[in-house]
Amino acid sequence: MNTFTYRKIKNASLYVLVCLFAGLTAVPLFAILGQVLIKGWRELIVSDFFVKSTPTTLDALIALRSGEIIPGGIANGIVGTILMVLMATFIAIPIGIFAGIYLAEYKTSKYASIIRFLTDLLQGVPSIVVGVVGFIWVVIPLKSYSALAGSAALTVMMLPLIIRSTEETMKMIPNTMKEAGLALGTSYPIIILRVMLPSAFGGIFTGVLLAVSRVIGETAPLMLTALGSTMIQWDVTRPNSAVSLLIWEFYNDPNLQSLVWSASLFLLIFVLTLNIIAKQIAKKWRIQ
Amino acid sequence: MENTIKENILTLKDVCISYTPGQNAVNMVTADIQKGLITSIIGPSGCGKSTLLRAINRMHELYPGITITGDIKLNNKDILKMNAIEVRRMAGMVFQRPNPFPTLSIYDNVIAGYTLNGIKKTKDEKDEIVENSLKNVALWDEVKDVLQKKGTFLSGGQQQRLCIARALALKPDILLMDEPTSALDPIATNRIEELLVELKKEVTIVIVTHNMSQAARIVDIQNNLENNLDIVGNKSLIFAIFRNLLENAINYAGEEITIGIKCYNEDADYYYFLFYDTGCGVKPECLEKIFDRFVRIDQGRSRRNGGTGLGLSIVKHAVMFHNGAIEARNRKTGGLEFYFTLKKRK
Repeated sequence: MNTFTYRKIKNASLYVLVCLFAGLTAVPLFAILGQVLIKGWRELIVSDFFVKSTPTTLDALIALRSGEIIPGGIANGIVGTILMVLMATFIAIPIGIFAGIYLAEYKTSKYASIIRFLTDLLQGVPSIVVGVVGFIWVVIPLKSYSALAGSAALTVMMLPLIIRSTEETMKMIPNTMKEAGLALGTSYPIIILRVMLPSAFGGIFTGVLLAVSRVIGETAPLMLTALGSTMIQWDVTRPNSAVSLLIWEFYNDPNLQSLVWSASLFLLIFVLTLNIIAKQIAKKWRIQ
Repeated sequence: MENTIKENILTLKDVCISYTPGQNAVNMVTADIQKGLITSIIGPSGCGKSTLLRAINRMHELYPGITITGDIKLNNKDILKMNAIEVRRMAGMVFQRPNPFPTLSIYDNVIAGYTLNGIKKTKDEKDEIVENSLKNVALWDEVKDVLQKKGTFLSGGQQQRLCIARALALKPDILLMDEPTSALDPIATNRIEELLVELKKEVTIVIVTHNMSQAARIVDIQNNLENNLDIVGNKSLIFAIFRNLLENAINYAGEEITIGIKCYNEDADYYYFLFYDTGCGVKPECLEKIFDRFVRIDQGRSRRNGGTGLGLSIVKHAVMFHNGAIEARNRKTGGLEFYFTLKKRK
């Protein structure tokens, strides 16, 4: 065999190997999706699933015995998740965006590099620790578990993501844009707000969506702050549930275990959709 | 150049700019910019042309660590003592690369100077400003039906004209242009150059360029060549003859000169050309040497302008390559003239 064919074979086999491993990364996603879909679709198509709150163990037991689908749904979880994530987003967006702008505009200042470092650290803090801190800082002073405490914990988790995505996007905007604004005799803050921010909108919005989809699945920080609730709860000062918390509760209840799959399926579809939307927006609004 | 009242709109005195302490990017520049003219700053890359230009509307303040010393006076007011925003409204700027605001429509881009600064205008006033500014840059006919489309949909040349319109909309006293055609193709470049000559009536222009022909337009060039000359020879060499003569005149003949070229005679085999400038000329004893390689007459001057001393040598060899002859003489009225021949197509 001459060197040339040997090289060709080596090349081809390596190529196959690389493709194979690249393909392997898709396996877990499809395995999870498939598993959840197979085991959870039945409850998900029952209309009650989205409007009723969690069934009691007893109801579930009776339904299971007679071979019916478990009555009730995860409406309490959906309400709680939406409430807490919305509150967290509204708090995190202004703080995160302004902090991101600061980091992008004052790249070289010492204070900025400290903040940037701390942001990275915050991103690395285990979510259960965020929950513990939320418990000590919000739950204990308010003397009650609440959606407020839950959203505070989620805010902390969202902040670093929004800050860094804002910073990165703002940095990508060419300096010429800023100069164009300045050359028209516009003041610096106006340029930031009316020229730079709109140009960065796509990137920032994507960052926010990704942060939302990240915290929507968080369970640990909510266990110690929102606690959970068996009924639909709109009062933000009362303990509240969340879809991710429900999955944990269903898992711990032998009679409700089949609901784990449908709740997971719902959460998964929700998060995946957010991710896909974020990708599309990033593509459409990318900085020219 | 027409005889206008020579009023200085901008005066630079001993301007030094440095990016790193102790190292001047721009060193002791003194210049007067006259009202109603196009003034071009020419030089090799990295010599500080853009740096100087950007100092005029205080663009350097964006970046820390840049120090500027000396006097820059705009309309007799020290720009460093004025409010930066006021300076920038008096001195509009057009950048190397077209930079329309990507999120704004064409209309909003032109009017951006007003909306961003919170200057209230009625709809009619705005329409008028937009129309006039776009007409000034010869863009109106191309975009009048798509004013609400994003400015980034336009071609590069159109975008650059849009940026010029945006700067003109604010009615600046002086327009600073930083190599405005360096990112454009030759056709778009031509249009912008034509535009500059038109705009001269409206606004004083200071332009940074390293494109000789762009600068050449600003020197008065009289091209008296007939369109039907049929020369035979090597295209790039013949091109080099004319270009080097032109660059030589622009670089060394001095300021405010007229450059002219004509074909004053022809016989059965040759065209006889006369190329002249009205500049400073050269000393009689140096006349013979100007075609020699690496010879630069008047060392001080050529050091300031750069150059290898090869230009005229190339011209001579290119003419001789085509079996022609070339001779240089001082004109009686001042300036230098070149007589040379090129072969006719039979």
